[in-house]
Amino acid sequence: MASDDRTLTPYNVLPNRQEASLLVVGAEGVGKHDLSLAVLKIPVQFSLQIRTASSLPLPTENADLRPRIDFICFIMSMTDRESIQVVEKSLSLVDVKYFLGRACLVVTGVHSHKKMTDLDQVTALADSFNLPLVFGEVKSEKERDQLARRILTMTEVAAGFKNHVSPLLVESTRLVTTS
Amino acid sequence: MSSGKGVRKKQTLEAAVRYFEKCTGKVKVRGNLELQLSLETVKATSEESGLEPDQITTLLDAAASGYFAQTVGRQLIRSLVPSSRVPQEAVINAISWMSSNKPSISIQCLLLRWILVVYDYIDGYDKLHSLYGILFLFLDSQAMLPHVCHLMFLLTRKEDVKMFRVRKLLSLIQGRVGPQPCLLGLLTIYKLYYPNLVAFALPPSNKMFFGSYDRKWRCQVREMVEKSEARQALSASSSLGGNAAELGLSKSRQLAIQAPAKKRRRLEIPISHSASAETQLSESMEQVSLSVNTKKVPFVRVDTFMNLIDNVEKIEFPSQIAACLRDPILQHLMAYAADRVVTARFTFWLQHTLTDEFLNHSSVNVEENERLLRMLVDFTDFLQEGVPVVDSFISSYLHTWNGMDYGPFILRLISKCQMYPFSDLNDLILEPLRQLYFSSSVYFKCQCLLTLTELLRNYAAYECPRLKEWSAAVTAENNTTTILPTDPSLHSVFPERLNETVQPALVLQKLAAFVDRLAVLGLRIEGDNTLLLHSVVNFVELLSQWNQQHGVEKIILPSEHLLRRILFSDCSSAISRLCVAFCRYKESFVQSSSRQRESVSAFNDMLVDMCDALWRNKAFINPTQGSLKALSGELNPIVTSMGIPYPSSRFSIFQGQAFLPYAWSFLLQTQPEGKRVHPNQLKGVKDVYLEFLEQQNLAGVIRFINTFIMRKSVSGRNKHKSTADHLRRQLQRARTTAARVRNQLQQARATVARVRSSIIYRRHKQQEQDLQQREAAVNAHVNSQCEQEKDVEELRLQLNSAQVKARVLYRRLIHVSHL
Repeated sequence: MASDDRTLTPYNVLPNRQEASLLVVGAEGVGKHDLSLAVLKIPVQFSLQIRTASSLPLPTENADLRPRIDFICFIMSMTDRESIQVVEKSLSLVDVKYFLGRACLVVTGVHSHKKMTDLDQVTALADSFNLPLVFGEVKSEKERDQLARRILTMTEVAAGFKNHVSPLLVESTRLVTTS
Repeated sequence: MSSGKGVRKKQTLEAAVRYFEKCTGKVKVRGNLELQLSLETVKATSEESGLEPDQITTLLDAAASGYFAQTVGRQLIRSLVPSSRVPQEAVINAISWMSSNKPSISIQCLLLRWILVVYDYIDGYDKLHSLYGILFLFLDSQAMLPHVCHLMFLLTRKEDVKMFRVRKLLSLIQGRVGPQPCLLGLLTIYKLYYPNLVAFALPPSNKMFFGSYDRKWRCQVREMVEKSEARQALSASSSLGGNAAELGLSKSRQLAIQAPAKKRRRLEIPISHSASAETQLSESMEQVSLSVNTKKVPFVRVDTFMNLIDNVEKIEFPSQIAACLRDPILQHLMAYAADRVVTARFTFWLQHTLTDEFLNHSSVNVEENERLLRMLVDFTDFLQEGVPVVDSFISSYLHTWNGMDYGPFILRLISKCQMYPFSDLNDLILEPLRQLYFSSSVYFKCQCLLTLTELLRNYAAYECPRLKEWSAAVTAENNTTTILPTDPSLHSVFPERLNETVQPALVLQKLAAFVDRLAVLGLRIEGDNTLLLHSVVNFVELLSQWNQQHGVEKIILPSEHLLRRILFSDCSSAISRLCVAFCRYKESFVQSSSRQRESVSAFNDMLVDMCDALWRNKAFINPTQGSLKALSGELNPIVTSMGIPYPSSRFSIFQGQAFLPYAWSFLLQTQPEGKRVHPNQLKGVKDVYLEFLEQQNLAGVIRFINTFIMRKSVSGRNKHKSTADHLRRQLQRARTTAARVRNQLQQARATVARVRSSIIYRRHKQQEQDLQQREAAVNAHVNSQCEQEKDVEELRLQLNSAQVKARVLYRRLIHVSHL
C-alpha cells in the first residue's frame, strides 16, 4: 500500500476542461527550468501549469491540492551520468498508464563531445518503458523553442485538447513489426 | 602603416626561418632568446597567414632533425599551416626523417598526423606513393599504427596490393595487435582490389575505420587555405579566365576551374586528379595489370562529354572518388560503369564523412554540411536511385534527429531512399518519422506527408520497375541455366542492395496504408488544416495516377476515413481535386486488365458516398449503397438527434459548407437586388450554377458529375439551344419543300401555257373543261405552297425569338462571370 501511495497516477483527480498540467522530471542542471519557461512562453487557449521535480516520488505534503498530471516529461543529459540514474529511478515510481503516450524522454547533448553514456543504453531504457525519445538542446534558443513546442503538442494531446484525439489513438498508428 | 608593419613582420619571419635553417647541432632551449623569438614569430605568422611552401620545407627539416628539444619540434610541426599548397618534397623529407629514426616516436607520430591533416593540399602524390613500401614498414610501431594505416588507406592503388602485404596484415590482426578498426579498414580496401588474395571474413561494422584526430588542426589548415585562395581568386580572377581559354579546355572544365576557388576547397570534397597521369607508371602498369590490356585513359584528360563517349571503356577513375559528387561527367561515368570497386570506394568515403560530420560531433560547420547534403540530393536525383550508405546514415541520424537541423535535405534524402522490406523500412525510417510527425507543428506534418508521398512516387516510378526487371532476369537465368550469371550491376549502381526478398507491391500497399493513417489522424489533430488537407490530397492524387503513369498494377484506394475527412471538409478546392482523382480512378479501373473485384466494390461504395453527399442530398441515409450502408440504421437517429434540418443535404455542392459561398455569390449576382436568396433556388438552374462553379476553378466537381451522374432532364440554356437547333432543322426542311414545290409550279405553268396554246387551235370544250379543272388543281397547289411559305416565316420568327432568349441568357452569364 505504501508503494501505491508513492506512484503517480493519471486518473486520481478529475480532469478539467480548461486546465492542463505538465510535470518535468530531471536532475539538477539539465535545464528543466529553461525548458519549462520556453513552454510557458508559447501562447495557448487554456491554462497550463508546469511543475518541476528533481526526482520522484513527489512530496506527500499538499498532495491533495496537486492537480492531475496530464503529461510527464523526463529530461536527461548524455553528458551527465547522474541524470540518467535519476530518470531510471523515477520511472519505476510512475503508474504504467503514463507509458501509453502520456510521457516522453527528452535527451540533450546527443551530439556532444563529452558523452558519458552510450546512445544504445538510452534507447534501451526508452524502449523498455515505451517512451518516445525527443532529442534536442536546451542551450540554444532555437532548439529549445522547438523542443518546447513538441512537448506542448504532446501535452495537448494527452489532455484531450486536440479534437478529442487521445494518446492511445496516436499510439495506434504505430506498427510493431514482428521480426 | 599596416603595410609597413606587414613588411617588418615578413622580414622577421625570414630571419626566423633562416635561424632554424642554420642550426645544425643540438640547441639549448633554456635561456635561448633567439630561439624563443623565432618560434613565436613562426607561430604568429602561421596563425595569421600560413607559411609558404619553401618555408614549410625548411621548418619541417628543422623540426624533424632532432636538434631541438621535443617541445620545440612539436610546436614547430603544429605551426606548419600552409598558406596554399604543401610541397611534396616536404612530405617526402618528413618520411625520410622518420626512417632515420632520429626524431622520437612522438614526433614521428605527429609528423604522420601532419601529413594526414594536409593530405588534401599536397601538390603531388607520385613520389609519396613510391614510398608506399617504406610506409608499410611503420606498421610495426604500435603508436603509429592508426596513422600509418590511414595514410596507406588513402594511398593504396591496385598495384600496391601484394600477397606479402596481405599476409603481414593478417598476422598483425591475428597476432598481438588484434583486429583494430584501422587494420581492418586497410584490409578491406585490399580485399576490394583483390578479393582472391584476402580470404579473411571481415566483420561487418558500422564503425569508422579511422578515428578522426586533429579536427581543430584540420579546420585551421582549411580556413587558412580558403582565405588565401579567396585572396588569389580576387586578384587573379580576370587572368585565370583567359588562361583557361588559351588552354583550350572544354566549357564544363573551365567552369570547374573558374567556379569560385573559395567554394572549391571548403567542402573537403576533392577535385579529381588521376593516379596514372601523375605517376606515369605506364611500364610498371603493364606488369601489374592482370586483366586489362588496354591502356587506361586518366579521367583528368577527359574534358568533354564526347571525349567520355569515345573512351568510356578505358577511363581510369580519379584517385578521389568523392569528386563525382561535383563533376557531372564523372557522374555519367559512374552511372554507366557501375564498377564494384568504384562504388565501394565511394561508399567508404561517404560513410566516413557522414559519420564524422553528422553523428559523432555537434555540427560545427553547418553551411558546409548543408552543401554536402545538397550535393548528395542532386547526385541521387541524377542516379535515380538511393545510395545504400546514405540510407543507413539517414536511419541512424533520424533516430536522434530533432526535426529541425538540415530539415529539407534530410527529408529529400528520405524520399530518395531505396526499397527495403516493409518491416525494416518501418523500424528504421517510418517509426522515428511518425514520432516526430505527431509531436510537431502542422508545417512539419505537411512536409512529412509530402516526403512520404515523394517516397511512394519514387518507389512506384523507379524502384518497382528496377526490382521487377531484376527478378525477371534472375528467374530467366534460373530457367535457362545459362553459364553467364546475371550481372546485378546492369540494374543498379549499387548492386549489393538488390534484394529478392522485397515484394514491391506489398511494400507499396503497406506504405500507402501507413501514410493514410498518419493523414487521417493528422487532419483530426490539426482540425482539418487547409494546408495539411492539400498535402493529403496530393497523396490521394498520386494513388489515383500511378496505375496509369507508373504502371503499378494494383490499384490502391484511400481509406474511407480519409475520403470522408476530405469530402466533409470546408475546402472546396480540395474536394474538387478529390473529384478529379476519382475520375482518374475510374479510367484506371476501366483500362486495367486484371479484375480487382474487392477494390472495385470498395471504389463503388466510395463513389456512392460522394454522389450522395455532393449531388443527391442523400448523405448518411442511403440504406443500400455506400460505405456507410451497414451503419445507416445506427447513424439515422444520431443524425436526426443533432437537430439540424435536412442533415443529408448539408454537404452538397448547393448547400455544403465548402460551396455555400459560391452559391450565395451566384444567387446574389443573378437575382434582382433586395430579393431574399436561398440555395434552394438553385434547383432550377443547376446547369448555369455548374458553369459558374467551373469559372471559379472548381472544374473537378463538374468533371465528376459529368462522369458519374446521368442527367435526366435538360434544362436552362441547353434546352433553349436544342429548341433553336430543332427549329433550324425544321426551317431547313421547309425550305427544301418550298423549293420542290416551286419547281413543280414552274412545270405546271409551262404545261398550262402549252395547253392554252393547244386550246387556241382546237377550242375543244371538253378540253377546256379539262384545262379549267387542271388550273384549279394548280391553283390549289399554289395556295398550299403559299401556306407552307407562311409556315416557314413563322418558324423563322420563332427561331429569332429563341436566339434572342439564348443571347440574353448568355449575356447574363457573362455578366455573372465578370462580377
